[in-house]
This record gives sequence, C-alpha cells and structure tokens, in this order.
Amino acid sequence: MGKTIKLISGDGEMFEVEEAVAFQSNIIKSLADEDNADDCIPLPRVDSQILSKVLEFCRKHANSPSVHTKFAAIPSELCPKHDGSAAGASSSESSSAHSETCRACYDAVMKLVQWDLEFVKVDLDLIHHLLKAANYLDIEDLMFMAVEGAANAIRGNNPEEIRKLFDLENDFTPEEEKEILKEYSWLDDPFEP
Amino acid sequence: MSRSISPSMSRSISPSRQKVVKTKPRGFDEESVSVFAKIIHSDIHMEDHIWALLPEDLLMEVLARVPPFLIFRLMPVCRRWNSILQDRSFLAAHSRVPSHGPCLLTFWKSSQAYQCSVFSLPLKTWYKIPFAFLPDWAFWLVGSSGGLLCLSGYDGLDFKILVCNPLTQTWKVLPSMHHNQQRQLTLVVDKVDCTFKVIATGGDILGDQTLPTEVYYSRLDSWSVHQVMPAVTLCSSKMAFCDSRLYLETLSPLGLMMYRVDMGQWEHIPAKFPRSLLDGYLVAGAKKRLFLVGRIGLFSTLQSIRIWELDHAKTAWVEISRMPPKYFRALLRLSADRFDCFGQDNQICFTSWNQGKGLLYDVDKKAWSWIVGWVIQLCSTQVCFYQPRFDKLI
Repeated sequence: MGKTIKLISGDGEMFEVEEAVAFQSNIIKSLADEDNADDCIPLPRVDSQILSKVLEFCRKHANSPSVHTKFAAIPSELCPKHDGSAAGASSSESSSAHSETCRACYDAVMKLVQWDLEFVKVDLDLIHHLLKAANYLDIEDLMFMAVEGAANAIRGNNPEEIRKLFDLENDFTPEEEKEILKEYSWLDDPFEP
Repeated sequence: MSRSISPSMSRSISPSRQKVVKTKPRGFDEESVSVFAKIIHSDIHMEDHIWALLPEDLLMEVLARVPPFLIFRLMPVCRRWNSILQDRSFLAAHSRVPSHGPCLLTFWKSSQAYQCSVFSLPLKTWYKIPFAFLPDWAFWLVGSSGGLLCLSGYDGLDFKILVCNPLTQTWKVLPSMHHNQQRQLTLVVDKVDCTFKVIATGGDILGDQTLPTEVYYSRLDSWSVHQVMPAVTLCSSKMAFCDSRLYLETLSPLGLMMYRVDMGQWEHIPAKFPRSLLDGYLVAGAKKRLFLVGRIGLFSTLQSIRIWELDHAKTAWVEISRMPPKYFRALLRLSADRFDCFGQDNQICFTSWNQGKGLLYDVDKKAWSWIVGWVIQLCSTQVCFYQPRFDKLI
C-alpha cells in the first residue's frame, strides 16, 4: 500500500486512505503538502456517513484523469489525446489504429461516467450533503456529479412537486403564479402529433 | 467543452481553521462568513430548508442542467428560482452545459395553418412550439444550428429569409441579398462569437449557376458577395457544413465542391465516390467529420445502405458502417422507396417517405435504433435536428 492519509470526520471517525484517493480533494492535497505528514487531517464539517460516500467516489476516480472537464454529449470530445476523427491522426498513425485508441479512451471514460450517474441516483438530501462536502473539500468531479444529480431530480416534475422535493416555500401570490403559468402553458398542453 | 462550474464559488470555512494543523485557510472568502454563519456554527439547523440556503452559484449550476423545455416549469417554483432563471449569468451557465441530447424538429405549413413541434429523444416527449410571430410567407424549413431555426419563403414576389429562436420566441427577417432570389441556404451558428451566418449558394430555380455566393453575417447585419461556384455538374443540392466549410457532391468533375467561408472561395476535392453508389447524402458530423450516406447496389436483393467517412488527408471515402438488413427492410419496403437522411453531432437520422418511422445511427456508439415515440404523419413535413438553446443570438 502506498502512502496513506488519515482523515477524521466531524463525528470523530478515522478514515485511512491512499494518497491518490484523498488527493482528489484539492483542500486535502494542499493541507497534506504542508509538512503534516504524520498528523491526521480533521474535517469537522463532514460527518462519517457523508465522508465514506465521498471517499467511495474518490476511490473510483483515483486513477483516472478528470472526466468532467470533457463531459459532453459529443463523445469525440472525451478523448483526451485525440481529436476523435478517423482521419485527424498524425501522419505516423494509420486511420484504423487511431480509431481503436479513440474507442478505448471513449469506452473507459463512458464507463466511469455511467458509474457516476448511478452514484448520484440517491435521495436529494444525500445529494445536497455530497454537494456541500464536494464544495468544502474542493473535489471538482464530485461537485459536478452532485449538481447533475440534483438537476436530474427536477426533471419531469411540476412546480408543486419540485417545491416538495426541495422543501421550498411558494412565495408567489396566487395571481402572480397564475400569470407565470399562463405564459408557459404551451409547454404543458398534452400533445401527440 | 470547458469547465462548467465557476471557480469563484464561495466555500465554507476550510478544515484547517478548526484545529491543530498549522496552515492558512484555503479558499476562505471573507464575505461568505456572514452568509454561512448560520450553517457553519449550528449543524442542527442545517437540515431545515437546506436547499433554500444553497449558495446561488451552485443553485445556478443545478438549474442550468435542467433540459431546456423543463426550465419553464421552474419559473413558478419560488421567487429566488425565478430571479435566478432570468439572470444573465444563468443564461451563460446554461449555454456552457452540453446539449441534453438530440431533438428533432418537424415543420409543416399550409396556407391556412402550420404545425411546428419538437421531439426530444432523451425525454421521448413531444413539445409543440408556438410560432405566433411566424409570417404567412415562411414556408420552407432551411435548417437549424445552435438553437436557431431558418425559414424561407415568398412574400408576393420577394424571396425572404427568417431566422428565429423558438425557445426565446425572438426572430429576425434578414435583409435582401444582392441577388435576391430563391437559392440554396445554409444556417451556421458560431457559439463562441455569438453570431450566425447564412450562406447562399447554387443557382436560382431556373438553374442559373452564375450567381456569386453570398454570406449574411449577423454582426454586420448585411450580405457580402463572394466567388461564383465554378461550373460543375452537381449530384444533388444537399449540402453539409462542418469545420467552416460547405460541401456539395459533384458529378463532373467527380468529387466534392468545398466552399471555405473564411476565404470566400470554392475548391474542388477529387474524392471518388464509392462504386455503385445510387444516392448519396452528405452529413456533417462533430468537429471535422464528414459522412456520406447512400445506397449501394443496383439490384434490390443486393442493396444496402452504407455510411462512409471522408479521410481528409487521403481524400477518400472510408466505409464505417452498414445498415443491418433488418432495419433496411423495415425502413424501405420496396427497393425503390425514397428515404431522407440528415444528421448533426454524430447522430444520423433516416426517415422513409412511405412510412412515418425514424431510424437513428449513433456514429460514436456505432448503434442503430428506432426512434421510439416519433411518427411523422404528414408527408409534406420537413424535419431537421434541433438543439434547444437560450443563447441570445438574435
């Protein structure tokens, strides 16, 4: 086992993880760099339940390049080394070898992305805690996925359902709400061509 | 695709401030202390209204990832969300988020009525688009790019062009061209620049090929005149635009006619077509990829639809896929059946004239699938790929 880092959650539990895992968090990375190799890093704002979920995510991402800087609906952009086109390779590579490499890059990243999407298919409260933890610990990929997860929770719900889900108060007057709904009523007209 | 979460996000107090560790706080933002004092010092109260207390920039990133058609549902939720959605930085955040998936826009017009609707493939749902502003003369669907739609038609004897954003309901009628007549048009959006261009090529309906190519640039709100396309015999008027170049198939000389928008010039590319090609559709893919889709084989029992990609370096078409026979038979019951083909972002759509079905080929995933829930019933319906966007280009 390589060099490890000790983390202490807000409720006093100790987690010992490999450097590569813990360093997914830019905060932990910079704290560890500062000559505190033997000390534990306390994380008072993150309790053990959340921290273990966060570390699960970090473990999965420990040895991959950040996928979300290239996360796009256009998969050719996911390939960090190539431009995705069959003919765009350097003159030394043949077209077929180039596409094979592209395919491998693409597959690996898509697998990780799929795992991430499953990871955030959890209840909204947990997503909220993950989002705050990711923000606090500065873990880009987790922040990105938590945001994505929260957005997914909104899909397909009407305003009232969204309010319930996010525990928000409706501070519009009935007249104001009616006006807004009227403006966008075309979206809800049941429509089959 | 650039990093989509802004770096200036506020952060609650970093771990180092709490205990032993002798380092300075990281990313500590003076202003955020007072806002988050409630949260930082009393975990117990964190549970109440946690979403209401989410920092604005994080909330904005969440809302920006909701599919465009569903964003309207967020407007009546509460005042805070409503004001965020109308904020300029929300629109910027939304335009950074990758498209939520391919959508197909269908347009049908008669003298009395029109129907425009969008089918979202990821959501498998239809949305009707109100086009109250659409003038009577708008008849042909030219195409769509970057969330904008281009339509053309005759207003009396005048040929006119209109560009609009169906989601924001903004539109513009373009000024007349220098040689104002019906021509082949292509709409191109530059997301970086927040501008769009319309390229007019080809002859008029009488086949006059001596008209110069004209380009409309939204920033200047004017048409500029460029080189006349060299005299060639065109295979078809279908064009594909990718990587700042417009491509057309030519019979004589054999190959492609390419127009470079940045230079305003035409160039011939002698890329030989595959043998026994019956009909060929040029389809632009993502970035620099150019595809040719067509039927091979004169005899019905041996026919197949294949897809080639242009190897730009070798100026040759390389076969990348073949439509599986079961799809081919289902799409085209008779070998003489016509099919239509168009694409965007490495998705290629096939529709058959005789049946309302749609078939999709995903170039990256190398996967064929029927478009579930999508049916075109009116035979004069025009279809194109469409990306719903709120970008303010008009």
